Amino acid sequence: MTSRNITLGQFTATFVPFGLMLVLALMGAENTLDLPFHRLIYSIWATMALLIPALCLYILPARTQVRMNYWLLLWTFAYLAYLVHFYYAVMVHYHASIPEVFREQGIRIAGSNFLVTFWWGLDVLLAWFVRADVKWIRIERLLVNIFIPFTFFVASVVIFKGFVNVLGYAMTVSIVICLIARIKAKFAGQHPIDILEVGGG
Amino acid sequence: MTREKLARSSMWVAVCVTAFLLVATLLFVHAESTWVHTRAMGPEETFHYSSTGTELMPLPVFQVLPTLFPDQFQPGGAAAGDWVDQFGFIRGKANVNEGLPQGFFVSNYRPRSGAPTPVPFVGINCSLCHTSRIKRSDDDSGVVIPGMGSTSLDFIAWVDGFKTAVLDEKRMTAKNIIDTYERQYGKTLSFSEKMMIRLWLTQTRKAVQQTGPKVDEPFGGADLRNASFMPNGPSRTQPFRNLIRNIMDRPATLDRGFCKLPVLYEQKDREWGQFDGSVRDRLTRSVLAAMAIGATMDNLAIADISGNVLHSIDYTLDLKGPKYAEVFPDQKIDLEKSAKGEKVYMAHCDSCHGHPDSQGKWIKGKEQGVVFPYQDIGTDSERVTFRHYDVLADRLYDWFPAKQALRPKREDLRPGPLGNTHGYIGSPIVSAFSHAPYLHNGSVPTMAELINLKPRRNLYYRGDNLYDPADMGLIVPSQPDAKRYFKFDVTERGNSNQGHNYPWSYQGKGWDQVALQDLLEYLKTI
Repeated sequence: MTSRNITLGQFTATFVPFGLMLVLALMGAENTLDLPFHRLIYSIWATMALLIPALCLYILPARTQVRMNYWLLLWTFAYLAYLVHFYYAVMVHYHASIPEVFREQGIRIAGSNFLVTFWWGLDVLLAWFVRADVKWIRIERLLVNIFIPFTFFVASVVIFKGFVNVLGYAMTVSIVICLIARIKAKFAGQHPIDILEVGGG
Repeated sequence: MTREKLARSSMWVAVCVTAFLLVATLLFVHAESTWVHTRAMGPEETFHYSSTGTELMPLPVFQVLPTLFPDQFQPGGAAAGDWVDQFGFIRGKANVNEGLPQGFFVSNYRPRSGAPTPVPFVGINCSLCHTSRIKRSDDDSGVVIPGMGSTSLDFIAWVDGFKTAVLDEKRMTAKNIIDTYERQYGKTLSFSEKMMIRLWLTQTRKAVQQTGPKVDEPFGGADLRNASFMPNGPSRTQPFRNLIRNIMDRPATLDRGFCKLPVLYEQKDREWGQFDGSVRDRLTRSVLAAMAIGATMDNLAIADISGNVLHSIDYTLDLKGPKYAEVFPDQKIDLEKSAKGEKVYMAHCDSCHGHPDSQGKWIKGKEQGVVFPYQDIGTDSERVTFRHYDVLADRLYDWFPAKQALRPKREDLRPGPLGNTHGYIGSPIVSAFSHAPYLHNGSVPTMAELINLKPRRNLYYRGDNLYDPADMGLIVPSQPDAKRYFKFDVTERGNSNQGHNYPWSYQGKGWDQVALQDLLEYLKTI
């Protein structure tokens, strides 16, 4: 494992929101008659609430160890929240039936959801256990950081309606702002040109 | 303590508290499964007391509704009896199943999702409609017969009364429910019960309000007994109305496809269900019936609930119908007349209905299971000509996801690959006396009228009708009283008592009064 010196402050600042949002997602659903469905919904809200800052930290210029630590923690906790969503989606909503998931969602959506689950999990492991300055890791991370926001954009802005749209638009706007900041920094000469020079360690 | 130490301590506290909350939440989620108490039940017990995924409301709400809304649950006034009497339910026993009437069960599943809840919910199962009581006087406790279609249940009226109560925002409040319960039972409701009552009320009211623009507001109060507004009446249902509403998202306001609550004896002898033979697979029949009253694919996928449905079906496969001689031990059957009547039966009825052999085994008639066009039989056509009749089977089939375990085979639904059914199916008439009222729409109160020994009545009153063993059917007064309130007018759409003129039309060509008396006597023996 690479040395990152994650501080108590960094851990607290990411774990506490993660923990509280997950508690709210699971317990808040108690206040509904359709408990599993609302756990599925609320847990994806928690995922996005953690994913948005993680994506921003990945895109923004000025790579520092502190920023990379926050990115890693948020990226990891967002994935854990996503796993809760994935459990309620596949194991409960679709009755633990992979064929039912594909039947109901279609191959493109179901396939991309399973790919997100696998790839994101793999990237979290790589982020914790493999140095980020290896080129193929940086390429892999760039690709996963394009693919995941894209699938979340399609789901939260295009496919579903409701509060998730707010999160979807917030994610989109945040990414755009961060990209602008990064491009501005690049042209101002404050940041190296290398497109792979982004994200966590 | 320095500021840094204080900050570190605060962070540790925050992390520990969050971790504790997270672990506690996960343990709580895990513990939810223990809220549902499943126990092994025999087939009969399953039929009467188990969940079929049709949970309606928290038990405390169910227990106080009649107190809070006497106008909805005693629409005939206090003198006409309590809600159990007024809607034709069969009273339960005090210490069994929370004392609920027949056909209500208690479970710890939430409505529709089937998610566990610590609060007991009340629902309805097969036994509600398919258990009846034969009474010969108003103070007779009667004989309760599992599998017999209820002759008194006015369920659609009860549902409308319930919905009207839910929509009453002044009286139907969580506070009123809780206060009334605590006053009535001298017990304090738990936090979870109070929370669930609030939650259930909010969401149920919203759901009922949302259906208003499509199906109109429910009727309530005295209107629940008014046949002009509630044309279904006691002992009948509109089997596909809710499916059209739920699956096709159409109001089905013109639907008059009434049919009586059918008997469920010896279902192994019935290949096709429904009076028109439109559904073959037994599981599909039960699933559609459960879905029409609130079950969902989500809760029917729960092993306990789907197991209950399957066990209830199994119970009816060999369920024996009652014997006339056992229900009416004081009634002597004239064996000589009965023997003559058997010949009439074999000549005119056996082909479509079959007959029992000397061991009681049902011998299939030549045309039993055949669907006869309604024009040929001449009985009311509404049940097989209602709007969307031709497309409903396709829509039902498409509604189930492909390869979903509960999805029917397309050939098990008609109209479909196995033909059209604009007619009525020849069915066995095991325990014929307990099929009253007769014809698919329950428009003929007695067997004596059905076989045209006596003229069929055109206007009478239904409700908790007593049984007449001599004429093999219900005693229906020509004037209403507190217990017989529903005006059954055979000239109303869906109520026709015409047709099925077998062996002969009343006083028509070939009509033989003595032969018909013999036939009636024989029918008491099968």
